[in-house]
Amino acid sequence: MGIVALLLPNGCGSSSSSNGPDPVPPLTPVMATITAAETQLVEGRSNEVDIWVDLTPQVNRNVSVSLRFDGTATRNLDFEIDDDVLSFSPNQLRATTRLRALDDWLPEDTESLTIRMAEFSVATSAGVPSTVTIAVEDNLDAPLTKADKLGGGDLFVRASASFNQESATIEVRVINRGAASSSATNGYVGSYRLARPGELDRTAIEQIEIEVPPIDARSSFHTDVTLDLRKYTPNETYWVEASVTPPPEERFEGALPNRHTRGFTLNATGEILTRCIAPNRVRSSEGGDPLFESQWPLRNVGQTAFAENGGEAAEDLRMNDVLATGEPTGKGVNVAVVDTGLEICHPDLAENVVQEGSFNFKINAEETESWYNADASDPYFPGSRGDHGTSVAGIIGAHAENGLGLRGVAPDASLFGFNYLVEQCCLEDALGGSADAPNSQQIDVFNMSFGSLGSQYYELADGILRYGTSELRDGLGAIYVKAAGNGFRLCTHFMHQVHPTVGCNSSNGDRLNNLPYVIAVGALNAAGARASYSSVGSNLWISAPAGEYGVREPATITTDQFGRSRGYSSRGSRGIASNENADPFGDYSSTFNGTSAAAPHVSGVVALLLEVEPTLTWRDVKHILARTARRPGGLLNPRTDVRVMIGDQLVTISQDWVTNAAGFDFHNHFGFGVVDVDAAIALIREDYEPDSLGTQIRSDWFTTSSDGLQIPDHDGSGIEQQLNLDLPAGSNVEAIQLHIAGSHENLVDLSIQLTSPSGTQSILNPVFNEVLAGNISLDWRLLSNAFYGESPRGIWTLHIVDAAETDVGTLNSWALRVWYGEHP
Amino acid sequence: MLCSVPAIAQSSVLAEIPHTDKTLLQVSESALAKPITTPSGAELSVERKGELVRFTAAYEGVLTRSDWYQTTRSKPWVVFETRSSKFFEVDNRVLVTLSNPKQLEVVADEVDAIKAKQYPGLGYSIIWLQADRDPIGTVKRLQADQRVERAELQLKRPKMFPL
Repeated sequence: MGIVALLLPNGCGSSSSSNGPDPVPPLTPVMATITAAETQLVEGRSNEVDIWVDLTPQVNRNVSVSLRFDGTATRNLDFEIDDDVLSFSPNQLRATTRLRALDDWLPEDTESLTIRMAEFSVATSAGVPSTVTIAVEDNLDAPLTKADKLGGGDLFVRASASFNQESATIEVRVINRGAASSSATNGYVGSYRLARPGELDRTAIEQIEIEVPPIDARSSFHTDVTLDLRKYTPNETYWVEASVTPPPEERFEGALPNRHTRGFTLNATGEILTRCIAPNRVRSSEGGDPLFESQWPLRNVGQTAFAENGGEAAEDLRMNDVLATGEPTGKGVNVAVVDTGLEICHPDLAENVVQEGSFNFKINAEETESWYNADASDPYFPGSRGDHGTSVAGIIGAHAENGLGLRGVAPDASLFGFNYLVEQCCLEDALGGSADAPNSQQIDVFNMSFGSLGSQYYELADGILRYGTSELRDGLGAIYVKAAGNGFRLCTHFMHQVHPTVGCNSSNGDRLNNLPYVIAVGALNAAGARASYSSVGSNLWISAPAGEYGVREPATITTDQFGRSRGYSSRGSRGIASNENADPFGDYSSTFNGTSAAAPHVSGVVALLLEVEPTLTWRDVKHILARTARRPGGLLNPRTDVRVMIGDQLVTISQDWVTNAAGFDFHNHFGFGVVDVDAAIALIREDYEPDSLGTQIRSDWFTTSSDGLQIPDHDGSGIEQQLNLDLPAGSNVEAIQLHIAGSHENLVDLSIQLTSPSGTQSILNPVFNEVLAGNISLDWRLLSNAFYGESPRGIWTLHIVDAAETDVGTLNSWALRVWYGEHP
Repeated sequence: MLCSVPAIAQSSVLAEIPHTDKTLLQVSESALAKPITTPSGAELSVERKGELVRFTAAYEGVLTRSDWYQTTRSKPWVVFETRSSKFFEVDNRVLVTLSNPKQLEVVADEVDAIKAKQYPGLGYSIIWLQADRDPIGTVKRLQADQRVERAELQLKRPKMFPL
């Protein structure tokens, strides 16, 4: 803190009335102090600070104070400041500005910045110079080098299992995510009996060696291994581990990317379990939902939810009115869980599962009505290490007030299970294109807690979802709720993130997330911050609670495969699995997380909204969620743009909240913000006319050819091109898709940004997006929701920057397509 | 690091399989007995190692893509998609649009399909082929059938996974 004394004339503006020449008016000292909230900044991290000047005593006229900057730090290279002249209105005691340290991506020593008060508009005499000195520490970040961009030959293993009468086929896929070819190596598939939750009997039932040939960089190898189920004992659960050498590198903390485990349980006759057999459970004589107090997403009071720490009160779905009044409950709304399975006889789900409404996609794929004793309407998941769909279903619609476990967001919603993910056949059947086997056309809300990585446009999905939003619900349109992705920290090609606010994998890379028909949902933790894994992108629509890992910080508590030998609880004794009082039978998990947990919270909310007003269109639902969302309150959420120097230009690589020209707040980390249930319901009841957004029109593609235009290498000025969209005045953007084509030796170098005619900027592709690693051809569609409500008419500007040296590429063409309506 | 491969590719032509919005080239061990350069400049080659087959793509001698396929369970049907410069295994599901959808079962029977299903709202049907049936040849045959307005291969994509 520095202090300076300004000397102001007494009785400012008055003059003395004594005889003779006017005396110099006596000066009254005004003390001014300059203060910085912090004096130590780190580039790109704790990188902003408030600077303020206080005047004592107050001055009854306008005052302005100029700031001067000295030291080794250079303005607009090492730091930027909002104002360098602070203005005080009469009697104002304090004026504040904000200073940010810029990330210049250059290795350098810690630099110093001294801020002085240079000029005072009212001063007649300077006092002691007032200064404050701030140290700006280098964060050692740099544009990822070639070596950093791609790791060194890491082998990843994914295993999947399918079962027949007497055998299990384990498909092992080995992926080389590194930059160099791997050497020939060995692997194995071994099967072990589960002795107790989390503990295997390490005597292998079967152990089968597999030979893995050299795998080129970013390529894969897959093979099948068959297990003989006749060697296994009835009524036991087994785990199958697929693994290859070498062991994982240290950077994969806690994860074992070269190993993947599956599980299965045999029944009394030694067959794989393929249908749900209801267990007997004693219900609490007091009724209610004994675990409700741990459900922080519904009412966050800082409870720990079986983790070590609690979150922040009120960082939840804001559904206090719903909980207090007991309505709405989602009654009459059909919600499909499109997932791995759904235990339709789970004690806390069965009452809401629609009889004969679900469908077993295993039967669909096998084309037999008797796939291993399965039932076509029982979407049973034969694996034993957790049925993802059963846990998703509990978040949406676990039955309430039944003396068991917990309650869903919409505890009277009608649940349908489609275990699409077990075969990945027939997206048409799973998402509304089929009138029989299954009848997915009766679904109001599809929950899609799954994802993929890869930038391919998925034309079939586009058609299916377009049909579903235009034809289902008697033309009002089904609502597709989709998990945004868990790739923020999934740094496999890269050795590290380029910046804490820029994730490794963008949500726009999922081949369903770039479609305007989905509501892409990001995840928040119990502190109201973006969950550590939650993918970010301009395609997000909304965010919802999901939590962290349930060990140190809360995850979501939900239904699990019932029993102690199956489910997430069988993996160990974390969270509620170690608490037999809270969960005496092993029917629940307190470690469920991911955007998979965020999406069903939103699906449940949508069910509530549709009960309140069944005539809402799918666009109404999106509009209401956006209009009533709130900014999350987490203290760790980013609150500033992040700009870095690329070449000699500052480029924004991560944006703070943007308020667009239609008044909608948007952030790539959160979409329009966190769902606010009570506000959404209040809006519907008080002030919302269904189907009032006008007819939605999908424009043709507006295209431009760039004809192999070279993208300047490592140059922040990049390529800037414009496209004039001659669309109706008075229309409102509902979504915009960018199609971009080109080639680059290392596509991850590219940042892609779009600016609307109203001046709103949106980063559609962040620098160093792993989704693009290993690709040299760019043929991609990206979605942005940041322009929602704005006019589409006018000049749109595309800005592409190559952020790293060496690799080069070209832009061939780009095009825009807009979905628009006429909003009231 | 990208690996160099011998630039021995020669210009030739691979069979193109018509598709609405993709350019698909049929690749196989026999078609690539000698390396081939596509019109877009991709140098494609194949090698066998025991029961494994590896297809590779390179540009100007620099390897950009390679994928191993196992041949024990069934023959892999593989295409090269030129825009993304990637190999894709072909699914055993074929998308068809018939001028008279009532003929679906007849058409499906003629290609020994496991089953077929209409999706009237979506404007197409899906025919499931036997696992050992050649989907590429079947699609070509269907594309030549006057009752068939559209017949398209479906590419196996990276699996979607729970999040």
